[in-house]
Amino acid sequence: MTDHEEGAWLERVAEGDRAAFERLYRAFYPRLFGYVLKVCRRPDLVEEIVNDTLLAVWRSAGRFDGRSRVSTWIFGIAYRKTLKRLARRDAAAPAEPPAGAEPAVAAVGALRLERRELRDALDRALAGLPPEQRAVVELAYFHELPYAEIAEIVGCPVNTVKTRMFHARRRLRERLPALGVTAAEGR
Amino acid sequence: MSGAAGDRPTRCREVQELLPWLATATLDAAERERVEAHLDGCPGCRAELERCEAERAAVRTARDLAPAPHPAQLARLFDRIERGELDDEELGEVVARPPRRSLLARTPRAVRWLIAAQIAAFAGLGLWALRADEAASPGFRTLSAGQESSAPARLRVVFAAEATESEIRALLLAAGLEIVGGPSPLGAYALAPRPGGDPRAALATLRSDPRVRFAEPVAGAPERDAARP
Ligand SMILES: [Zn+2]
Repeated sequence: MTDHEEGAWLERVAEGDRAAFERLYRAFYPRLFGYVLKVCRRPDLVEEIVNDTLLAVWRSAGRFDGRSRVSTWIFGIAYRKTLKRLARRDAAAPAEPPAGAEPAVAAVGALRLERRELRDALDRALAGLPPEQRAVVELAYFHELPYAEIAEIVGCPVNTVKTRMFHARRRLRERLPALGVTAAEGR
Repeated sequence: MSGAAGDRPTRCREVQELLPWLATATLDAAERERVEAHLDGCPGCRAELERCEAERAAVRTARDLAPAPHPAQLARLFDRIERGELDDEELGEVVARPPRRSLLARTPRAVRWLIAAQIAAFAGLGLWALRADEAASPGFRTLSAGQESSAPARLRVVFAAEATESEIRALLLAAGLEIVGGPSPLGAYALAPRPGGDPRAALATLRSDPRVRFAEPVAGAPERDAARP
């Protein structure tokens, strides 16, 4: 879906059009799933957060003011839902899963071993960051969004986005100094 | 390029804060040029850029397949919608409401005049409900049931940005339509046929007109009223 199409679908959602909502749901569910998982690192909560996010989209589609992209707006809702959910008392869980017990969302399948090692190492390194920093890393590197758009999603000034990324990268480097070598040569 | 050694650390920090976005090619041209000019003379920041590129590659490689939702999830969600779950307070917290310019400021000037006239004509009748926040009332029907002085909206239209007020007025008169609501945040207006007007013919007229970017009938939303217990 293009931005323009997404806007048109959202407008129909605002009118209570369920078919439009279903389409938006299917388009956004996988994207939100990966994003929310990376931010909260809690496979047990992701499905709930993504569905809550899309319920909020249904309820508030009429508030979308067309000034940002639809995806920016929806990712912003998902971001705040995630932080809110993590702040709940019953969200308590080990912040950092034991080494080697990384949550597998889908079967890793035929990923080559070195890729898997890299993934595990990176996951462990990211686990030590606060969710606010993980969100910026994910949006910048995986979704490849400009910092201005990330600022809109997480609702803070652009300078804060840059600083968060800077600190996140510094901590990643402490935990994963050999990243460049590993990534380039696969060891 | 300023080569003063004294300001180098500051410059490096500034540049390094931007490098992740240089690595994903999302800086604007001016910023990119500034950063690249600095990189020419700074091996430290060049190494940092390489590191950013490796990080980005790792993040993009290290990815499980995102699952498609199980159909039951959507069904459950529709159940929750029926039950009216999720209170407004919570909604207010998670849905961004940035300080907004007025809707009128984002509307073509010509249309603003037209709308101002419409508002004056319908003031107090609650017809400004093109898109009620809560979709509780189906379609475009107005808030004061029984007091409706105008037909319910039948068409939704977006005019071309360059259309003038007189063009729009002439078009609406020719098509036998009047504005009963809008603009929505995306610039859509709700139109209804004047008494005796034919909505189908009106729709055809609108669609054949270059000053209309988008025109479609308003979808009724009958199922949502059939609330389950
Ligand atoms: Zn430098």
